[in-house]
Amino acid sequence: IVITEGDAPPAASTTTNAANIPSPPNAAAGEVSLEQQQGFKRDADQYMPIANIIRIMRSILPAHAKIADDAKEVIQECISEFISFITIEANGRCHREYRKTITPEDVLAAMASLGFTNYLEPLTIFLNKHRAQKDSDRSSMNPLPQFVRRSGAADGGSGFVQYQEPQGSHMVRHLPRTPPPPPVAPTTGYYVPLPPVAATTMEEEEEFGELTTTVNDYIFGNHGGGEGSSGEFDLFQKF
Amino acid sequence: MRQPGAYSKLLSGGVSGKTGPHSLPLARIKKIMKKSSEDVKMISGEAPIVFSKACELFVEELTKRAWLITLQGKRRTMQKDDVASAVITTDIFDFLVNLVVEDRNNSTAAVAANKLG
Repeated sequence: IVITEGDAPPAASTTTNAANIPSPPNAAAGEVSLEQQQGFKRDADQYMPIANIIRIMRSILPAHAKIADDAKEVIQECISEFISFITIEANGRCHREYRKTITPEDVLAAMASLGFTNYLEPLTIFLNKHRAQKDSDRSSMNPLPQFVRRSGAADGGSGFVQYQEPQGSHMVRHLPRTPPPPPVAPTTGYYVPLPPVAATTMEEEEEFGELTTTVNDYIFGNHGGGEGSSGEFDLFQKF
Repeated sequence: MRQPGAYSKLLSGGVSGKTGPHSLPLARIKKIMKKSSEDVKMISGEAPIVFSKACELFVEELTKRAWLITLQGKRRTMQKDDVASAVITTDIFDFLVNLVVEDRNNSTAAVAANKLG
C-alpha cells in the first residue's frame, strides 16, 4: 500500500503492488471510463507497446518505485509525439536538400537542431555497432575464394609474394569483397562519420596482404557501395 | 510478436537478421513516422533503428526527470502529474506541453465527474 501526499490515491494496478485496491479516480477502471466518456479508443497502432515502455522505465528506476497507469500512458503518448516531431524536422531537411529518403543521418541532424544533442553520441555509437555487425554478417555470407586460398597456403611468405606480382592487377578485379569506400564528408557538424565498412573482413587476410589489397582497390577504383546511406569511414577516434 | 530478424530483411534487403534485438518494434516506429506528415514518403531501413534507440533514451530521460519530482513529493509512485511537471520544466520537451496539459485538464474533469457520480 502506497501512501501519498497528493490529492487522489494512486492507481493500485502496478505490477509490484499485490494489494490491488481499486481507487475510483485513477484506477484502471477509472481510466477506461474516462476514455469512454470522451468516446476515445486508444489505437494501439499509433503507440509503442506499453510493456516495452515499462521495461525501459523499470531499468532505470529503483526497485521499489511504482508507476501509475496514467503516467505510463502519457509517456506512451509522448514517445509517439517525439517520433513525429523529429521525423517532421528530418523530412524537412530532406526536402531542402532535394532528397526523398529519410536517412539515419537526417534523424541525427534533426535531433541536433531540436536540442537533443545529448543523444547524438550514444546514437552514433549504436548505429556504428549496427552497421559493423551487419557488414560482418554480409561478408560471412559471401566467402572470398582468393583469400581463402591464400590463407590456406602453408607457405605464408611465398603466397604473399605471388599475390604481389603484376597478377595483382587482375586479381584485384576479381575481388568480390567490399573494399573500404572513399571518405565522404559528414552532413552536419555534429555528426561523426562512421568507421570503415570493411573493417571486420580484414581479419581474415594476412597482415601484408591486407594493406596491399586496400591500396590496390583504391588505386584501381574498385569501390563497392555502402548501404543505402553512403559509407563514411573512420575519424571515430573522437570518442 | 514481431521478429527483429525478419523485419531487418524486409527493410535492408536480405541482410541476415543478426541486427540484435531492438527494444521497440521497428514496424510500429515506421508507421508513426509515416503518420507524422503527409509528405513523409521514403524512409531508409536504418532510420527506425536509430529511433528505437532514441526513444529508449527519451523514455529514460523523461522517466528520470519525472521520478525526481516524485521524490520531491516524498512519494514512491510516479504520477501523470510528475511526468507533466518534468515536461514543463525541461526546455527540449516544450513540444510535449500541449500533450500533458490537455490530459491534466481532462483527467481533472474525470475525477470531478467520478466524485459526483
